[in-house]
Amino acid sequence: MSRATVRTVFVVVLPVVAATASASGLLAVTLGRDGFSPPDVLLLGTFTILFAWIAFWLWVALMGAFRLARTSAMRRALAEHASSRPPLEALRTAIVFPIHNEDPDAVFARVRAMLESLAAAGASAAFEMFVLSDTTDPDIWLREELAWAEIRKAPGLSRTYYRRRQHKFRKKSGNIADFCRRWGGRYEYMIVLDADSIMDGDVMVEMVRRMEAAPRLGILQVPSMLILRDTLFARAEQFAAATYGPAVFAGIAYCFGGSGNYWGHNAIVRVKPFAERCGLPGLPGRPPFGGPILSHDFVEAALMRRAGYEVRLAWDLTSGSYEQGPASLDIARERDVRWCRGNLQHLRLVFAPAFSAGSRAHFAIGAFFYGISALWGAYILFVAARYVMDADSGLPMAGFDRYAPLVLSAGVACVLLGGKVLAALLSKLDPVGPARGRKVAASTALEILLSALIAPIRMVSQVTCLVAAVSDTSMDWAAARRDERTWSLRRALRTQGLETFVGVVLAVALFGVARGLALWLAPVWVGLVLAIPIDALLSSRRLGRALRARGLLVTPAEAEPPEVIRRALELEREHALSPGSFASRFESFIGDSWLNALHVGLLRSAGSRELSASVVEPLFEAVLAGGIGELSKRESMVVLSDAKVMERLHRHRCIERMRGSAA
Amino acid sequence: MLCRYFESWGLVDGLLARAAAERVMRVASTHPRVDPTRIAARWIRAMADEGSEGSDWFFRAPSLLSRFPAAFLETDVPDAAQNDFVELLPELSPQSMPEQEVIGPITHAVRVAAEAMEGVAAQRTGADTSFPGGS
Repeated sequence: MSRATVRTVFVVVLPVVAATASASGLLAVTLGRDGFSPPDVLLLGTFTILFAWIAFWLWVALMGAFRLARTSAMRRALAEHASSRPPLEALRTAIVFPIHNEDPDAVFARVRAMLESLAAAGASAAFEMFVLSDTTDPDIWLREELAWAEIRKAPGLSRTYYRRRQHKFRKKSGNIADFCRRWGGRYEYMIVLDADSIMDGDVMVEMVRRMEAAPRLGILQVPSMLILRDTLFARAEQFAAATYGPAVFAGIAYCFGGSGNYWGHNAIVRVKPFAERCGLPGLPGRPPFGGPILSHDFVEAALMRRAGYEVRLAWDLTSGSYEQGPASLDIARERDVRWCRGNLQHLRLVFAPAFSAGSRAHFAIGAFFYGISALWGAYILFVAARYVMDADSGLPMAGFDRYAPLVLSAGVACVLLGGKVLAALLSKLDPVGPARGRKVAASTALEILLSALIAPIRMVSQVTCLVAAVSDTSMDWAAARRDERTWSLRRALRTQGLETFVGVVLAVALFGVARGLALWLAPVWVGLVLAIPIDALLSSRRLGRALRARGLLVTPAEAEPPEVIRRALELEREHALSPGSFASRFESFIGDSWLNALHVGLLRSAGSRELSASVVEPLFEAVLAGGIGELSKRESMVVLSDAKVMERLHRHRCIERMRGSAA
Repeated sequence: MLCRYFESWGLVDGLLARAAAERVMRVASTHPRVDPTRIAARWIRAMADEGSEGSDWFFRAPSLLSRFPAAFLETDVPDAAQNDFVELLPELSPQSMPEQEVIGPITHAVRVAAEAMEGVAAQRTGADTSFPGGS
């Protein structure tokens, strides 16, 4: 057993086991006064697992908070030292930006803001940016090309490339693997981003420096703060991430050390070992546990560890790395469905030989995260069963009438909320002052209230995700939705209908069985019964903005927006392409010689192959006869994918115009 | 058609575009098999290529043609046209990325057992061959 593992066992596992044993012992004493019935055993078992889970996260947050407090002075000194170091000059790093049907205006505004930020850091020469598109919508494709060309035209921003894959294979991980196979030999490192990521130039430079300083470091993950959402749901998540996140990240980094995890974006990767030792295999067997690996990042981190390289979390880089969270409950649920399927698939890797203990722990924690909701549900049912049995025996809640339950309840509340309160107290939200302190306290209270309201809804939602993940064998991995759609009752009925139904059934059943129990469990069923109005409340942008105007749920990135975010927003407004229809955009790509050369050049540069005449000829004729509007999206993609057809269409358009002019 | 071509590339002044088109047609008349637009593309590239890296010329050309059309017309038209395209991505630098093997504990145990059995069998075979006459 390595020294780090021994340290983790002593510093993390033993305290959590001790706390869990104490709490479970207290419950066992309370329940076992008149002997143990089967529901008692089940109740005790689920309680022990649940308590261990929350105690683990509290302990992680406590250790992180301690670490943050202890090292703040050291970090300031390091930052000052960093600013005095010579700039990076040699080209060694690619920034890869995989996208799939995203809003091109927002994506390329972020790309340009990051390039400008790198230029401001004096490190333009050391980085090249690759936008790796897997877009399948023809109009978005053309808009991506236009937006990229705008960046390339700008002086000093030529080190950015756009590549669209013709054949999508294994989604994002396949997209990055394709990049590695084509250009991996050109770079020492790659910074992997998500479509909604944005990173400050200084942070990217610091990431490269850390990789250079530690040759055995394979992946350095940087925590990202959630930004740029207005809905109440997202604002609460943003505040929670900014306030509690740093302590949790510092704790996780301490627990796992060099056996950390990779979250798929906002991370820097050493290209050679990644390419040579982290190529993802397909898993034997059938879906949902076999087939292609859905959630690639955890597995890539484990493979990197298996290859003898470290994977670390840069917990001290608490600003300069950002992403967007889901805007509403239903989008969060869609994300949960994806992650749940991916994480459950990791279960079969927990005992796979040659992985490190840390990697196994990441697989297990990731999968257990989605099992925990089912356990909460089971725990509530066991509590109800115990209550009913006691009522039948004439001793309602016989075991719950002494001091022990009160101590236990207080303990559970402390474990549940303690981490949040402590992290809020320690959070370095600037500007720190009495007024700001009060706002942080009020925001923390509001966030805890919202979390409590959402908890039962997410419990039911995650149980359904779990069921869907286990029963669905399609292996479809839907792309993330990043929009902030207006709330509608119809959609809420569809997305929150089940939760409401479960809440009503639970409330009716509880009142039917025992009024006292129904009141005890009100925090569970009230949230469920009100799932639709709560969804409306949480999806409200107006409410989110109103709270922001009053200084509530405000993050440091909002209180003092970093230059890279401010610039990205400015660019998005300035460079938003004219809305225009796809037909008119397509027409400009076959009518304008420069745009046609751009599109054809991109196709040929990416090595796209021409399709057989039997496929493209009828489409070519149809476009000539009635325009691109005559074709379906799929057919339009075929036309756009064939360089020869696009050139012929251009020539044809030129001849038509010449004839028109002559006439 | 060539006037339109030059317009697309930023030479928006009609008279100058016509003059550029006439020069291209003069060159094209000596190379009847070559598409005149290819000669025009080559000419633009030759003008914008100086001092630029990789595909930078492609993005610089519209700006140069719109700002300095007269200077463009002063440059020579290349007398041959290659059938090339604009390379908009960096040169390939391939890196192999083999799929790794991830096996489960049972498969691993079976493999280890199989290997052990093979080892024993090999030892036995070795023992048999070292004593060919033995019983």
